Amino acid sequence: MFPWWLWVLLAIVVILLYLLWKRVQVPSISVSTDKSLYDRTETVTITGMLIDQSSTPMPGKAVPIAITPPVGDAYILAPATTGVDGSYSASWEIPDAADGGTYTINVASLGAAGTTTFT
Amino acid sequence: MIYLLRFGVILLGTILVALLLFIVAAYSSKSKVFSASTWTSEVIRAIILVAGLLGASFGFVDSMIFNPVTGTVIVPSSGIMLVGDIAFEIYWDVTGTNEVTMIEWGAMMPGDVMTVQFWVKNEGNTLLYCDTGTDEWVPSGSEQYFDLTWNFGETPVGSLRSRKVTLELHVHSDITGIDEFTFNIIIYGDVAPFTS
Repeated sequence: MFPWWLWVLLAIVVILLYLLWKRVQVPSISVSTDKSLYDRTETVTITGMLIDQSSTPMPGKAVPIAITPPVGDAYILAPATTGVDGSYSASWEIPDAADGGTYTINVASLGAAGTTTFT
Repeated sequence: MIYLLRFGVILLGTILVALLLFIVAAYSSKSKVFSASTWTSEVIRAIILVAGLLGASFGFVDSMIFNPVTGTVIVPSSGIMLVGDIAFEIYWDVTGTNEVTMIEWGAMMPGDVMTVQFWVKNEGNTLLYCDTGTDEWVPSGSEQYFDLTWNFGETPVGSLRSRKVTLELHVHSDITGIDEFTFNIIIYGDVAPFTS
């Protein structure tokens, strides 16, 4: 019915569209802490998930983490790496001389960004 | 307003210079032309008139050439150079995923102040002091029309910490001539404080 070359062309177009779709997929990242209120010298446990647009976990990706205190410079943690289920975790011990107030955690990976706070 | 001010300054300056030249010539010359008897009120009036005409002419020509920028001032972008034997980087985000390599200032009006914010991250194991500067202004000499400041401060950034910094570019309202500029921003990093 259709010439063979038309089928080949159609297949190429489908493959290109699939590759384009994969490329424009924007992942999303979540972040949370084990508690919302901490004392000084306590350890904050940070966890989250990195998934793509179809909610598929994205393993083996680096997740930089920054903690911004209410006053002063942000703390930069060593980047976490997502596991096979797309989850990651990190911990941070609150310094003895830390200021009281709201701390903001920022995470980012592959263009996705997440944020949460603790006190 | 700026035209009038500039015209006035040039007019008065030229009159003063012309009068001074007449006086110097009168004192240093032995010619009878400059003897006391020739300094009648008509001559003095004529000298003042000639000096005034000269001043007005110079002022007029200058005001025709003088070309203040009344529209937008374009600073397309500034490259960023980090200088220093210390590990530091600047990023658009606190997590340090989006490195700053260029700042797009875009179109500004004379008198405008444009601000950008970024993070200075100390990736080394020592304290980080920073200072800023500029170079490679195009056209050359155009830096006189701009002020670049930032609020990094004098305190250092600790190891593996990141500081949010605001950089401000101020375009002077008396900017003249061409209206498109480029320059590079240099950020110096050191383990010791910078002396101002």
